[in-house]
Amino acid sequence: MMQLGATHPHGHVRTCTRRTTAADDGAVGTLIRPITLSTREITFRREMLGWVGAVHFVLEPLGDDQTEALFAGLRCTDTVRLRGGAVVPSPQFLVAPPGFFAPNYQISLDEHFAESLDLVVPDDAALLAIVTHRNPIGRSTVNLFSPIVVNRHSGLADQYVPASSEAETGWSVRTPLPLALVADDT
Amino acid sequence: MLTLTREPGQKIVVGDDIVITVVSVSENGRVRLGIEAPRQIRIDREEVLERIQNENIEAGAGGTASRWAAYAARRANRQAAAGATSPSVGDPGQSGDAARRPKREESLVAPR
Repeated sequence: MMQLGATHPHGHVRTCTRRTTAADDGAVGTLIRPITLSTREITFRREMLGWVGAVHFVLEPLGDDQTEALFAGLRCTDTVRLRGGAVVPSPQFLVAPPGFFAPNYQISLDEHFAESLDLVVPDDAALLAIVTHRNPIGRSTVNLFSPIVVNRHSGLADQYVPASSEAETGWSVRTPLPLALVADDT
Repeated sequence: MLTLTREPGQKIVVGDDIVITVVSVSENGRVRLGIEAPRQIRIDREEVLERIQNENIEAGAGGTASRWAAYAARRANRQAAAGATSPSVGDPGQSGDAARRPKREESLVAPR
């Protein structure tokens, strides 16, 4: 298991069980630190669920204000089909670090998943939660159950599907967005 | 579809290295299965995959710039209303923990 996310409320530092060295200390609680990737080119290990052929993506900043740059666009550069076979415009996703929506966010990756992305320590990973925009905006949600996990060095990525259910993990595929982000101004 | 009848404790072998065991069958019809397979074989509940798949389809259709603009505009309005003194999304005191901004607001994408 590789624990990613907030530190334990009592200050206990959870580390990756595969390599528990002193160097791992402080490698957790990283989710609302700046997520810095060495590359903007992101390659999925397999097609993204729901989008046949969607493997190559580019992470693009949105807006020019630094305070807006916590959100990014994840744009697919492949020719993509739906499962029915119809070619459709390549998907584009609005993504942000899960810790932005839930400061206590934490997720445990199983060992095989971590290995498949060449993740050795938690700090090798960056998490991207996918926002589903809806009208009206108050119906928009974010998927905190199955985030995209990216190797921040290589750009290798996969969407994590926990073996446990939403109820068991406590994180929903459709988590309402923070009121402050969606509420209409008075 | 191949259909087999099994009793608790009995197994099905798929290929060379996948073994499925019927662990128990409860009175209300729930079946517990044990699955032994190589680690690279992905095992997921179908309804979980479908839910994620459907969400991905809905989330990925359409452009990001216009959708982002909807959030950015709300934030800009709030900042203007707050006298532009704070970069915060909103009032954490009213919105709860989930709405609280990270203390350091920095770029998701590293500058080149």
